[in-house]
Amino acid sequence: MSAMGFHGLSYWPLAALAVPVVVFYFLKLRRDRAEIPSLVLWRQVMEDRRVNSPFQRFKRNILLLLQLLLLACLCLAAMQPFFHGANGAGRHLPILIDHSASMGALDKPHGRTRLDEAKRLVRERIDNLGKTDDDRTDDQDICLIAFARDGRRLTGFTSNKRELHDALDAIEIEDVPSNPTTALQLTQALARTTGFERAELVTDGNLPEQVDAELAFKLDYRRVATAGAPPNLGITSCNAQRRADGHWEVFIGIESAAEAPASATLELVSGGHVLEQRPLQPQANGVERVSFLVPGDEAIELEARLHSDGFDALAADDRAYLVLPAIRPMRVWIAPALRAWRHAASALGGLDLHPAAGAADAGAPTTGDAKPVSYDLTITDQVSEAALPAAVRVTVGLVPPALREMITVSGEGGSSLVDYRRSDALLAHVVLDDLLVNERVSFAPGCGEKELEALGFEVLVHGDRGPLMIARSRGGALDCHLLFHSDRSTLPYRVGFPVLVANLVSAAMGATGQAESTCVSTGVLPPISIGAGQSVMVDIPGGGHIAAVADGDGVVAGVRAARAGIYHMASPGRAIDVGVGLLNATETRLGSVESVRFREVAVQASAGAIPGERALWPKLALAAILVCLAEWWYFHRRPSFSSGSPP
Amino acid sequence: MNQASARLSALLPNDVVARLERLRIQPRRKTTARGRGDHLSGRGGTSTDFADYRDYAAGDDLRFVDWNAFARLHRPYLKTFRLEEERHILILVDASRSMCFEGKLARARQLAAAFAVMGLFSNERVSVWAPGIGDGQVVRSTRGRPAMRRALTAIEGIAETGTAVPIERIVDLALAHHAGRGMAIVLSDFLSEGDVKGSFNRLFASGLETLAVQILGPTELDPEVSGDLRLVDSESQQTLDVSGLGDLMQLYHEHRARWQTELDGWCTARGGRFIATSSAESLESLLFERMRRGGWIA
Repeated sequence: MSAMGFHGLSYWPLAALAVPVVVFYFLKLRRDRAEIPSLVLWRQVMEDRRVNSPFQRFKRNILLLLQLLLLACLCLAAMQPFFHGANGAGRHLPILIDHSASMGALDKPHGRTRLDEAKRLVRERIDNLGKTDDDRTDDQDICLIAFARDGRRLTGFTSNKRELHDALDAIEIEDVPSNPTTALQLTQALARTTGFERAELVTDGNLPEQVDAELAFKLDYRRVATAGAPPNLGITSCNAQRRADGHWEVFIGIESAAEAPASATLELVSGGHVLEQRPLQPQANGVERVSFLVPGDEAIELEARLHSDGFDALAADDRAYLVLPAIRPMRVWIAPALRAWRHAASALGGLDLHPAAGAADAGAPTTGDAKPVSYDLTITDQVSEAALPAAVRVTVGLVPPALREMITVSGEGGSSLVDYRRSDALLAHVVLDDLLVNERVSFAPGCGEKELEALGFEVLVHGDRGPLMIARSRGGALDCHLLFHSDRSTLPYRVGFPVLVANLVSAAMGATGQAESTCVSTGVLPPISIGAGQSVMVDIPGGGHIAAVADGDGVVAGVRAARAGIYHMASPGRAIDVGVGLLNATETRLGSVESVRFREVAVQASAGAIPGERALWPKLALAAILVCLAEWWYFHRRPSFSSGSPP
Repeated sequence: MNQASARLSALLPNDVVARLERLRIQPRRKTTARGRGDHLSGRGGTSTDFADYRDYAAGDDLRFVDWNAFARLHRPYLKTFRLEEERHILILVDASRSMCFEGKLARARQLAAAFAVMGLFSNERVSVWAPGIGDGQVVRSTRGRPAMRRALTAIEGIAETGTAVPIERIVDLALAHHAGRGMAIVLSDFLSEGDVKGSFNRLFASGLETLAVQILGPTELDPEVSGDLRLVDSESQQTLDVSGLGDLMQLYHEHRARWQTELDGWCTARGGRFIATSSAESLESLLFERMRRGGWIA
C-alpha cells in the first residue's frame, strides 16, 4: 500500500488546462516598451546571459511558471490527495482507549483530564478519515475498544464518523485500576476474524509493566500526559479490626505521588457528620498510616475523606468507604455430646454458647415460627444438626452426604496422619504430628483427592488411606468436616486442640464480619452467599442497579464495582452492605511505564498525535491562494527601466 | 540688461569662459600644420627665437652666418632659429539620436564650445563638425579671438533633436574636408555598432591626436531594470526583450566597463587619450579638475 492516495483521481484531466494557459500566456504576454539610446551593450549582455545561463529562458517566463504552478495546485487539490501516515497503513485499525481511574487525573487545577486528551487524539484520528458524500469513509475502518479493568468493544470496525464520535463521547472514567489484558485478548480475538496488522493503545501509561497477552499484531503504545506525574495524594488502604474493648480500630493508609500537596486533612465521616479529622503532612512518594477508634455498639457506615490543601490531580482516590457491623458475641452451637469441644470453647470467653448447660437435650433450636436459628459457628456430631444455618459449620465424625459414596469410615483398624496443611487458617499453630485415630477413614475404590476437589472440597489433613479433615467454602461461609470422631482419637488431648477451636471461632468471626471489615477495591464485589438460585439486587453508588443470581451453591460473584461508594445488596431475607474504594497505590502515584512487556515482545511508549490519514487538499488550496497572490503581485508590479526620455 | 543678454553664450557661463580663455589644450605630441602659427616646430625656422649653432655647409644662406663668431674663431658658423607653426583643433560632435538622452548632447555642445574657446584663444585653427547642418561643418576652420562669438553661435545651432548619422560617418565627413595636423576632439557616447576603431585609425593616419570624450547618461552608467521589458533602440528602432532577473545588471556593468577599456586602449595605442564622463557631472568639475589634472588642458 503506497503512502499516498487520492480520493478524487478522476479530476486529473484538469491538468490539460495547462495547454490553454501556455497558449494564452504567450498570446497575451505584456511587455512594457522602453526606448533607450542604444541596444549595443544590451545585445552583448543578453547574448552573454544566454550563454552563461541556459535556464534563463525559463526565468524570463516566471509569470508562466507561476500560472502553471497555480494550476498544478488547484488540480492536485481537486484530486484530494492524502497521506496514510507512518502508522496509518491498513484497512482496519482497532484503537484501545484507557479509561481507568488514573485517566481522570487533571494536568493542572481546573484543567483537562488525561481521558480528555486521549479523546482529543482519537477524535483527530477519526476526523482524518477520508470523506465521501454520505459521511462515510471509503478507505479505513476503526474499532474503538475501551478498557479499564476489563476491555469492552464500543464499536465494530466502521468508518461512520458519527458512530465513532458517539462511542468516543460515551466513554467515562471508571474508578478501577488499569489492566489492558482483557482488552488485548479481545483485540486478539478480533484479529482472527478481521485481519489487521496494527492497533493503537492510547493510555496515560499507568499500566502494569508485564501483561499476560500475546500480540499477533503490532501495537503502538501511545502515551498521553508525559510531562510527569502531577501532585496527588490518595487513600490506598482502609480496614477496621475488632478490639476486645468493643471498639473498631479503623486503619487508613495514605500514599502520595512523586509530588504531594503541602498539607492535607483526613476526615472520618458517618451519616454526614464528621466523627474525627487528622491533619497530614504528606511527603513525596511517602506512605502514611492513620488509625481511628470507632465505637462498635451499633452498625455504622464510614466514609474516609481526604482534603488536600492545594492541587490534587486525582479525586477518585480521595474517598474510601467502610461498613462496620455492631460488635456482638459470637453465637456458637456445639452439640452437648462434644464435651471436649464445649469445654475448649467455653474457655475462650466472649461466646454465646448453645445449647446452654442443662439444656443439652433440647434438640435443634428453632425460632417461634419454626425457623431455625442462625449461628455463627456450629460444631456437631449429629446429622440432624449438621444443616443448622451458620457461617461456619463443623461436623465431627460425619461424612457429608455428597461424599458417602467416595469415603468410608469404619471402626476396624485405625488411621495414621500423613500430612496436614499447616498454612491453612484453621490449622494455624495446631500441631497434629502425634495424632492417633481409631477409625479407618479411606477412599472408596477409584476415588481420590481429585474427585473431592471436583466437588469443591479441600483436604486439610491427609490420612494414610483417606482424608481425615476436609473443608469447603460456601461463598463467604465455610463447611469443615472432621471425618473421624474426636472421641475415638487423641485429638482432644493434643495441645493444639484448643487452638483448633479458637481458629474455628476466628473463622466464624471472619465469615460474619465480626473480626474485621475491609474496604473492597474497585473492580468486582466479593462473593456473597445467599440461597441457591436466589437473586440479589445491587444498588450502585450514584444511581443504578445491578441484578445478579446466585449459582447452585448459593454464591453471588462477579458483580462489577466500577465506582467507589457503598454497595447495598438486597436479597430475600438478607441485606449486605459493602464499602468500596479505589485503594490502588499504582493509580494514586500516577506513574507511567516506558514500555509494556508482553509475553514475547516489549512495546515502547510514544507521545503525540495518532498518525493517520492526512488530507493534503487544504494545504494545496492554501498554496494555490499564495501562488495566486504572488502572481497578482508580480503581474501588477510595474516593469520599470530608468532611462532618460528623448526630447 | 537681462541675464541672457549678459551671457556671452547660452552654452557656457561667463566665468567659465573667462577661465577657459587662460587655458590651452595640451597635446602629447607636437602635431602642427605647415601654416605659420604660435607653436614651435621641431624643424628649424625663421622666427626670432634662437635655437642653436651649426657648421656652415655649402649652399647655406650667408645671412644667417654669425659673423662675430667668424671674426673670433676664423670658422663660419650658422645660427639656426625655431619654426613656429599652427595647430588644427578638430572638434567632432556626435549628434545622433542616442545622444539625445539625459542631456548628453547638451554636454557635448558645452564641451565643444569650451574646447573651441580654448583653441581660439590659443590662436589654434579650430573647426567644429556635427551632422545635421549642411555638410556637417558647423564652424569652418578659423583662428583668433574675434572668431569666438561666431563659433559659439554656430555650436549653439547644433540640432538637439538628433540625427541618424553615427560618429564614424562624422569622422569620415570631417577627414574628407580637413587637411593639416593637430588634434581631433571626439565628443560622443560611442554607442555605435559601426567601426569606431577604424575611425580612430583614420584620425591617427591624418596626423590628428585623438582626444575621445565618452558622454553617458546616469542611467546608462547604472541602469535599473525590473520586470519584463521590451527595449527599443532609439536609432534603429530595433527591440530586445529583457527581464530584470538575476545577474543582468552585473553583466551590464561588466560589458560597459569592458567597452570603455577597449575605447581607452584604442586611443592610447594611437597616441591619444580617452575619458568617460556622465552627463550629470558638472562642467566645471570635468574641465577644471579631471581634464586639468589629467593633463588634457593646462
